[in-house]
Amino acid sequence: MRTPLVALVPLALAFVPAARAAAPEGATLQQEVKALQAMVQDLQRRVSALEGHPVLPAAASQSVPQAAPARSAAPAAVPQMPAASLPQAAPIAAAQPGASAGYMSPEAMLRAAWSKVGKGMQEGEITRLLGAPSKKFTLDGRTVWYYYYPATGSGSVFFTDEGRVSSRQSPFGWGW
Amino acid sequence: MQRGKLRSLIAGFAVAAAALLLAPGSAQAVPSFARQTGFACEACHTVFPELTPYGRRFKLNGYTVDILPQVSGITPSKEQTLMLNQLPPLSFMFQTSYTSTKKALPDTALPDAFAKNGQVLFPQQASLFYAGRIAPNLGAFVQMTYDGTSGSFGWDNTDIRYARLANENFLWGLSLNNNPTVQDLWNTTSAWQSPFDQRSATAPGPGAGTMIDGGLADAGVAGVSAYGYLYNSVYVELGAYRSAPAAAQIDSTSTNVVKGAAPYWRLAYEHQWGRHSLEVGAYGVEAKLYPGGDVPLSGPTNKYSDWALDSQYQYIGDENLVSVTATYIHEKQTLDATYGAGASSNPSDTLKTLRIGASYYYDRKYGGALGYFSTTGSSDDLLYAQGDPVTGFANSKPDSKGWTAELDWVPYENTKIALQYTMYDKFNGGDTNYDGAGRNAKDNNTLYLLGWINF
Repeated sequence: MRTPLVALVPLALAFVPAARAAAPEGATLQQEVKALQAMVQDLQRRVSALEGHPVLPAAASQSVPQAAPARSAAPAAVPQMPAASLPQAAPIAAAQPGASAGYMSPEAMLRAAWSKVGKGMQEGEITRLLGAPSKKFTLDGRTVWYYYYPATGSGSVFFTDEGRVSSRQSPFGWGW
Repeated sequence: MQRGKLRSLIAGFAVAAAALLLAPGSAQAVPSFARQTGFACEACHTVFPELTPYGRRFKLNGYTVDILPQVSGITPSKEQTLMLNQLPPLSFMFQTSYTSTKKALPDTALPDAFAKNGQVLFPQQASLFYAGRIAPNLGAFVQMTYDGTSGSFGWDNTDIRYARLANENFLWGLSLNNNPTVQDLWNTTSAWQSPFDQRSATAPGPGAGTMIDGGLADAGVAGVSAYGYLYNSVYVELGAYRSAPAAAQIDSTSTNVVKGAAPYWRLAYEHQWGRHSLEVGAYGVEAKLYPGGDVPLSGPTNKYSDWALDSQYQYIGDENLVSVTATYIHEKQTLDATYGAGASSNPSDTLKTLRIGASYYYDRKYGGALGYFSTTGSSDDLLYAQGDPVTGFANSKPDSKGWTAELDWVPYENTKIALQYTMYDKFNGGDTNYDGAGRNAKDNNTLYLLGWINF
């Protein structure tokens, strides 16, 4: 068994220069990926502008979504929430993108962001994922963050007294 | 373990497994309402179908809190004539069950033979719902159901509402519905009673019941009621019901036909503090009915005067949920038609029903409930006659009493698995040989496993 192992050593050494030569190519690839990401972000900004959504700085789509105006108000005795009375939640284009480096539509990004909302998450994590809600209020003593997306629908996140997510309803109609 | 018991156990597990397999991996609890409002299920339900205080307000408001994209119609004078959801608020319900009684039921055709004990219904019920806004201030809860025991598809619970908020302290509305108490807000009344909102569809049940507790609905009625809600706490409702059975015409072949209209009333007060709420109320109906059944729909009637008291307490914590419900119903039966026809021994009888139940859920996933039920009333040789095995009353009394216990598992917000056991101390007037055919009340003790999905 010793002979084959000894024979493998020069074979491995023979590949070291090749591996060293591959390092610059990796750096080049990384640069190309970054360039492509920048291009995608630029295209997303253009699409957002064409669709009438506010254009975000390039960094916004990679970090915390843009905050939408939030009001802290308890619902009326019999809550009525006509769409016109609610501020929009963070625009669809502002939702945090998924892990995929490929192009994601704004709706897909929003869908991905909502799918990451999990039971037990803290308020700060929800803000990072979804941005500020359209409205904050208490419902039968429970804290609710309500998100309204024009032409898409609305969703809500319910919190426990400790400020952790107890349940959510996404605008795309799935729960857990 | 006996082979029969093993088979029963396997069948039970099969029902539970089927329910789980059918459950979507991620789903929502009250599908079309949740889609419509954008609210998580817990906004309106503790665990379905029991309502939270907000769920009651949503119902009061005519199911119209809505923020979905709409198709609108507006006249040149900017009057809104149409507001439809782009997607109709449709939902689907599926129930499958396994039922086993302590002693098998007699065969319906062969003497001295028994039916198969341990019946699987697949489905027990399957329903299609339209539940949501129809137009501004107008909403509906409409249920069409396939019944697994009869193998037929028919119209089920329907509540169409128009609601207006007069000011911040007063809301009024109208309800058009087909089941007295289906429009009610609390889970004490017959249509939405909890716990034990679902029971076996194949096990024998007590033979005597009051009109307000399902008798009128079973006869087939439709009614309209007007309601008001003051200061977020006082509820007042007045309505009337007429016969509306599924029939080409209402004549002597029909049974329990309402003469004129049967008035229905409801009063309730609810106080909410923190995570607690307490309701106390009263409700009732007064119905004059032609017994029908080959008797012309004219002449004397039977008059049923029902009044009831009810109360519901809820604590809805983040993890712990407690509900206690109770109702007491008193019915006075003035049996002019039946007594005149020689079908009852007394010109008037009484019937009283008491139900008390308590449920606890942890984390809206794991729950248990315990309840007591009792129906007692006048002794009447002809009204409560010996009749057939299992369903007969050998002691001429309507009395049935017992306990129900239930364990619940809610793996998803829209999926419930319930294991229920009902134990009878008395059944149709007796504890032993209650039907005169040798059957005891305990022989009807029922094990019931239910799988229930909404999507």
